[in-house]
Amino acid sequence: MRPSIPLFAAFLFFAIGCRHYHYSPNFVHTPYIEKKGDGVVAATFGANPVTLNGDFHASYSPIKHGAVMLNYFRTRSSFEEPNFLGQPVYQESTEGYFLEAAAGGYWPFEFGTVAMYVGWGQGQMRNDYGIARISDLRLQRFFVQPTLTYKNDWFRLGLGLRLVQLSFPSGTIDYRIEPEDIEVIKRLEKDSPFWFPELGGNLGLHFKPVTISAHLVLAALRPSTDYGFDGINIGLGISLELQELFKKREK
Amino acid sequence: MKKHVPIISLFALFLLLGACKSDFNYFYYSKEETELLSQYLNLPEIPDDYTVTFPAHLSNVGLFPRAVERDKAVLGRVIFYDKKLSKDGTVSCASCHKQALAFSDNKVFSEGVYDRSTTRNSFALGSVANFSAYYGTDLNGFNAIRFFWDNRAETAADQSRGSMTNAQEMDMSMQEIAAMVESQPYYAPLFNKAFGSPVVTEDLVLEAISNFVNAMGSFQSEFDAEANQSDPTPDGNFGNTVYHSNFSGFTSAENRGKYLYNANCSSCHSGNMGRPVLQLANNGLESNPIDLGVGGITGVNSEKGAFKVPTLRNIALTAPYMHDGRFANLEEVLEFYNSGIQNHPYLHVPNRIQVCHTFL
Repeated sequence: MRPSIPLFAAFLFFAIGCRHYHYSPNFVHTPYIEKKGDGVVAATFGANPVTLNGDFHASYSPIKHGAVMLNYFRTRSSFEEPNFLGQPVYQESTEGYFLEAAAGGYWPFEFGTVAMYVGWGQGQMRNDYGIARISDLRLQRFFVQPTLTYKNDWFRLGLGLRLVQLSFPSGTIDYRIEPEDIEVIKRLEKDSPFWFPELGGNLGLHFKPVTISAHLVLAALRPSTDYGFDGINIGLGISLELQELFKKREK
Repeated sequence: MKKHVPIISLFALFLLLGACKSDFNYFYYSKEETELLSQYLNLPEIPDDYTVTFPAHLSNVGLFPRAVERDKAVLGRVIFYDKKLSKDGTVSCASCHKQALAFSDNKVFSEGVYDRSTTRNSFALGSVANFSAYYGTDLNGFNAIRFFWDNRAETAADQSRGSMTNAQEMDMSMQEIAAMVESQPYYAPLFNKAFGSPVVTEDLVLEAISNFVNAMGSFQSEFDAEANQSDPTPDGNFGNTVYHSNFSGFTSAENRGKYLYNANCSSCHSGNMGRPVLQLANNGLESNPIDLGVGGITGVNSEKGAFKVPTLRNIALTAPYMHDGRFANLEEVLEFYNSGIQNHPYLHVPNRIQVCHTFL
């Protein structure tokens, strides 16, 4: 285990060192759906060393073994860039959103449910480098996501591996931003699209029909400073399982 | 096979999406600024990067250029080419300092406003970057590289002021220059970018020109490439041995010329083609000079007939040669050093010198 400590420290260093982001991962959602008519709505609030974010998720199974999901993600950070004396000079920020839809199949088995989703989404990451210098990149993500979920009366456990193809089809960039930031964007433009896996999981306590859960997603990226990618997101969420809610009401 | 169709389609879609490349739009000026500027100027959408980077062989011997600020250099470039800033609107700095000629002129004496003739050959500004970090110090200090053939200007700003206000050149006062700049609508956004305000002052005009002039240099010559590739000294540093050893990419004639140059010319002009070694020299053009050069400014006897020592970068582009343009080509220059040097009590060069034309 020891080698992982410096690795984690290095990760944190890069995460904190790079304050402008062009991508930040939303949570890997693992819908707790087992049969036709099941549905979930969820809201998760996350953070990493730099950004704060909100993640909204809805999923529903309209047919047997088939489900759809819709995710909306919003992230933001703002900070003051100091001058060489350490005094704050101007406000800078990173903000972005992402909307995606996915469809897939699920197959319950003895110890849980396996599922496979395929999805596509679009979003935007806007960085303000101060004194009205903006980079505004449109991003597009295609993904294939196998998931494994387990649930009982009290717990929810979900794991998902999101295989991502991320691209930046277009962008508008103020060339007055710092040369090193321009370099990051040019590198990103040159090397797009990117292929990488994101590993996500959640663990929740269930109080019918509500689940309170902790979420974690890790993106297996090159050092974030290469492209201004954010590689981690940790959050706390609340979800509502619609079939249980309606059952309660029927009772 | 049919059951694999969705999977294959999925992968095909994946690959198709993967083929989409990014197409970013970089902009430097706002839409309003672009609309205004494009009415008057033909500036690149993204300004050029004016950063000067010395080749390794120069930076490794401790030479460095003066930092250039892009927005100021862009503004300086517009001013440099603006004929409105001369008395009769026919001459700009670029009229006598043509980029294609290493920012020199191919005339013996350039023409200023109202077809007036200048009194000395236009000095090539194409290698100001070579010594930009070394001007602005006292006249006699080691680092005191100066401007004009008679070294009368301490800085690029002084030099610009001197040319703009010279009756034979642009014949303006600095107040007139500042007023003219302020009256032209295209300068407001450029001043805003460079100085954070559209307010024009004489000093800001000169600062902008200085930034542009400081960026004038070229370091992609065959000489630089060869010097960069040469083996450093055993302690890992580039030293003068680099310039004294043969370059593998040079012909034998070029290496012979380099050898002769190092033996006979480099003590004034520098062996590494960086900043000149001497700030002034009397090269024996005349035994009794009429144009006193540096001595005419300083009044120092030993400097009468001495002139600024130029760097020899891009020398092939800057004919005619010498302060009065008396030599039409390099052959004449070399023949002068070979056989034409006149005796003078304060001569800086030996009376006899070997030609190194092939190298130059």
